[in-house]
Amino acid sequence: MISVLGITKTFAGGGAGGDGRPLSALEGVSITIQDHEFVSVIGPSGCGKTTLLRILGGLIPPDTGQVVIDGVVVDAPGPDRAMVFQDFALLPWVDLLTNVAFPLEIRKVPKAQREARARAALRLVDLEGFAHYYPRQLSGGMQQRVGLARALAVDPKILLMDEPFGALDAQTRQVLQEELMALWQRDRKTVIFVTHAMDEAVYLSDRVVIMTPRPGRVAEVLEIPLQRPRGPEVRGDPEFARLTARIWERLKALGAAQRPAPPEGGAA
Amino acid sequence: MMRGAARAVRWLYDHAPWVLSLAPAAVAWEAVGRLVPGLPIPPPSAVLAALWTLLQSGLLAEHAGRTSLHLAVGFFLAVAAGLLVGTLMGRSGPAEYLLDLYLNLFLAAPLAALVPLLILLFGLSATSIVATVFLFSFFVVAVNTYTGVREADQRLVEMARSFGASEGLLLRRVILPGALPLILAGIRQAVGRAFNGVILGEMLVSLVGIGGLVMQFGGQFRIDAVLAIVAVIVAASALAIGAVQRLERRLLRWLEP
Repeated sequence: MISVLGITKTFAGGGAGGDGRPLSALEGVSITIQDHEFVSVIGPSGCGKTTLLRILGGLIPPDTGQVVIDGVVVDAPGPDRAMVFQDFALLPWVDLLTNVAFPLEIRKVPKAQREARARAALRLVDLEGFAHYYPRQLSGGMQQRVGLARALAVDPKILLMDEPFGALDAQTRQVLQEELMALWQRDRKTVIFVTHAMDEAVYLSDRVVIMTPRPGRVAEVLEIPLQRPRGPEVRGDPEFARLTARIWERLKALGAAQRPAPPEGGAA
Repeated sequence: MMRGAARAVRWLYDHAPWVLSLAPAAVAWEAVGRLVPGLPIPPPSAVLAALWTLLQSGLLAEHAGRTSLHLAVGFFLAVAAGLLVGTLMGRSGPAEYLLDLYLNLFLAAPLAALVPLLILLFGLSATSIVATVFLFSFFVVAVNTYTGVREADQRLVEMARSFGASEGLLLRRVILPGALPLILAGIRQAVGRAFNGVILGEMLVSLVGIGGLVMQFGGQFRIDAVLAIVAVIVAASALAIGAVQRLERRLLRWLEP
């Protein structure tokens, strides 16, 4: 179980606006996430959802409040968590196999063993035949499948996904959403999935956390009672449309829609 | 006959452009050298003759060995130290704060003017020559390494940290590979500077090595021999830079589109 307890985070003069004033990214955020749950966090750009994920990952500390995973306070990255990044974050100078094996190399897994595990992870995302390709030789969709394989290679309990499909075109995005669903259905890892796409949040999640604009607070937590496993046909379900509309109404009411969103920088 | 000549020119055009660049100048220089009496600049034929004599007498080979040693020791020390200092500055705030000024000062300073200081420190010895090579080639390696390390892709650094990478692994697998294009460019520049350094050091320190030979012939106004030696230095330097370029192409294959 993951407990996010009253987290507040302010960046000193590091706002995306660049005006040098302290930027309040998160304010009093509390969420509880059960094991095997798929939870999306949605909100306008700059609502601090990426900051929340980085705190969960142990990359930055909160100012106040804490994250507790299975009774242990998070203060650093740990083997129970693996991240998937919006810009894929693949090492351009090594092939896919070495990229996927990299977290295992960090964990000092012997070479033969980590290559076997990396190959197995590449097989999960149907890229086994591309083991010795370089990232630049792949499309964005394929690169993100490598990013996913890298996270799965360490077999984490929790996947932290930061707008993983945000940089992809609509078609590729939909294909990857379906692949992610199929993969998730196998062992139901706990997933925290940051997104700004409403249909994506509904399609994937058990619950959707809707955040307010800056500073980010939890506005509402929406249950997604669609049946599982979910195939592409779920998108045609009237309930799917109703839930998506519901999120849209809520975001609009929060004033997220009218406001021209600043680009979401590293601090947001 | 004409066809054969045309084919030869074509071959040179494709494979050795420098021959076609040099040939007209050499012909003009040769003509001026022969037609204008009393000119202090010997024509290319005289330079080639001097080169032949130098090679045959074994004089050049004898001194080149010593020069290569000075060059290699100074250069590799400079590369190693440059990598170390540059990495330290790129990763550590205090090191960056304290050393940045020195790096900029030395990059702007006329290093040749500092060689007498090295001679005072190390005497008329090989150490002074090696130190001169070091002085000439260290700073470009350090500054390029520093820049490359500092500008590391923060997204990749964050990725590595999220999986719990130690500083050592982060450097080895993420930061230094990312900085490699800049580091190798710095090393390539350092090669040319090291050649300048070794010749200057040898000229000022001693009568040994290629630089010593230049001083010796210069003192005798044997400009033909001096030019022959300069040509040899330029050729050696070009070969060394070419070797680094081949290394760059091999190590940076991942950059190619």
